[in-house]
Amino acid sequence: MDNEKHDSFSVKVKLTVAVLWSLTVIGTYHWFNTPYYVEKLSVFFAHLKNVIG
Amino acid sequence: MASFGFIIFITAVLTGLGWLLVGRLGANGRLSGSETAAFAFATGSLILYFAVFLIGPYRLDGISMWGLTATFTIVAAFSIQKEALGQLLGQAKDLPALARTHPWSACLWIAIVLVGSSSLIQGMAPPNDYDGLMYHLSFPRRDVENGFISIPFDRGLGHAFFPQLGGNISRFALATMNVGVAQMMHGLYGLLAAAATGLIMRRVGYGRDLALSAALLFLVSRVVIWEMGSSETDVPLAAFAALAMLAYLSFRQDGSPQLMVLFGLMIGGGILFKLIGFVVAVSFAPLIFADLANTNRRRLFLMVGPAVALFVVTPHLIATYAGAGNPFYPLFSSIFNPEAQDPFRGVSDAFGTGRGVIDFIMAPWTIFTMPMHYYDGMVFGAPYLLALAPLAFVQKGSWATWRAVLSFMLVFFAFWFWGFGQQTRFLLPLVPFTSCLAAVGLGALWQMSSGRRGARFIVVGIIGVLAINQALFVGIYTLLRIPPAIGLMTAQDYHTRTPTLGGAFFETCTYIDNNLKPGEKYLSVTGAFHSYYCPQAPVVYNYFPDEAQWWLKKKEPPGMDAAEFLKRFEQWNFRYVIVSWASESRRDPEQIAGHKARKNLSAKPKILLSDGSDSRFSDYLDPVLDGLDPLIKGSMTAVYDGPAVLEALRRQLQP
Repeated sequence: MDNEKHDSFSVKVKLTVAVLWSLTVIGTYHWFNTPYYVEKLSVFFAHLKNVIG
Repeated sequence: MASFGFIIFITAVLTGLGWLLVGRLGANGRLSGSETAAFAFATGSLILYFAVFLIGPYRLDGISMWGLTATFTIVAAFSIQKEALGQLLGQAKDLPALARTHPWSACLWIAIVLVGSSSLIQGMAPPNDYDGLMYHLSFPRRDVENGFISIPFDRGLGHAFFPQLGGNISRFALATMNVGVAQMMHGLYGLLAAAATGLIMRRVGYGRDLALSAALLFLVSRVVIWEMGSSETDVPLAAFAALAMLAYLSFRQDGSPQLMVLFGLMIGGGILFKLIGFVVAVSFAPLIFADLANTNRRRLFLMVGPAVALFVVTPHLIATYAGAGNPFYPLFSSIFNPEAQDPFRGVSDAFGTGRGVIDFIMAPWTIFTMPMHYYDGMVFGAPYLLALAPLAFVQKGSWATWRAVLSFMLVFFAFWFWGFGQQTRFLLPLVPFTSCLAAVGLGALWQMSSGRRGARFIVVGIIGVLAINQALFVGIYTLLRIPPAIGLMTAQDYHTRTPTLGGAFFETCTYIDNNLKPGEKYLSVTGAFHSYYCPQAPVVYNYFPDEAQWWLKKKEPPGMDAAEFLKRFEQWNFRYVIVSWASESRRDPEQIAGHKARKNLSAKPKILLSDGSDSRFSDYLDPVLDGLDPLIKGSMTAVYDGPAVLEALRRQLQP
């Protein structure tokens, strides 16, 4: 039972660290690259219009 | 349609050709059927390279290359073992049953097939990648036009001496079919690299779903999708690096020298695709030295791999030495060619945050989260590799499993950081392994959140954000390149609407291509770039043939006075003159110099107007061109009538 509690706690800690790491990476990436996305999405929709039209 | 059919045909032929050797090396259970097929295709490519290497300097045309194809087909037909073929076909037949019993596996297979085939078919779009237009495709086109392979000294590019496995594939494809086939043949190595990624996962003991996930994570990388539709060589190098690692890991488990022969072939093949293959080879040194110290492994067998690799690359080294006086040219030119122009001038400060120890530690972070700030753009796309790969090590046993691969990755990364110009696409040889780790990390994240609804919701959200981000990149390339690839858009429209670094010179070059008659010549003063779309053989490009090798002997180009230029212009009787009137930068040139200051956060191109023709003929040619109207003016270049330029030159110089 103690081992199970320890394992469960260990998994929770690892999961928390993993989620925080992933969110930090995603958040930092989006924070610094918004101008790129704005530009590229506008190009994307312009091309979509070209292809459809 | 014929092009795609040829791709399927040549894949089967090269695989059958390579099976002649690999079938024997992998016999007795050393390799699985899938592993044998992967190594066989790679080995068949090497055979194709050597065949073109030997025949091409004498004859490079449709007859010689189709003759080669016929010979390869006959050999391949006899070499494929029916049993192994039956195994592979059996696996394919089992796929529908797999869909019923393992829906996740089926979904992953469908995703791999959709992304992989889309990336491959995009190769049929007109070429528009800078390096392909500059040399990967233009040099082979020149050789096919001439009817034999020769060094294009007049281009003034050290790239002329790069290893030519990719170049010979392009020569073969241009002589037999077309440029779309050349690009798609390069794209096949993306599929090969993805297969090798999945096979590595299986070899080290992971299940099918994680192996398929790893393959998919490789395929959706932005640089992989981009390069699979082009003639670039980073993805093929990644394929050979992954196969070399697969061979080495197999040798560690099995101990047979045959597997070290395969290792050597893959290392040799990687070097023959790209000089960075030497770094791939050296990055295995810690593993080999560790195994040399291990008394359980036969030291002699370990030496077989490097010996085979050396044997494979020796013909290239000899040919390079004969042409440039340096077997490794353009590497080590400061040692072998100290008097010559530095082929890598200006590259070392182009990217990165610096070369200190802190920069080294922070580099994986800055590459993935701030690529527009410091590096060559959004090369990998969304940072899913950075987000997921470290999570592989929350699982017990991961360090032991991946220790060998990690040692390779660390050495290669150190070389990249301190030895190269820090272009991030040169990290592609690490992407198969990073994809493996990311798949393991993804699996760990999923497993840890099992039974925890809130955590599972967050994990699904994380995966969803990364997936949507990356799908944008996948979707944009599909939307850009599939319509022209399948004939829904003309090449003219494609080049007008698609951003191409430096421009493709499509309108001006096809004007020359369509109007230049047999025997006529033209002059090109288009700076460092002579587009693939221009005829390659009947051109004087910046330097005349007698002075074309100056860059191997001197640091500064030769000058030419007006009288000499006029005399040569009359002798050559140029029909056209093509000049650059603009160029493109992806960095903001108004910023102060230095990599940290030259950010272009939105990747918007900056068009820079040329100051005249920007050539050594500027003093007398530019005033002439100012007084003439071009026959045609494109987005970056203009074509002038040769006789009109000559007449104006005469008036200017002989009033």
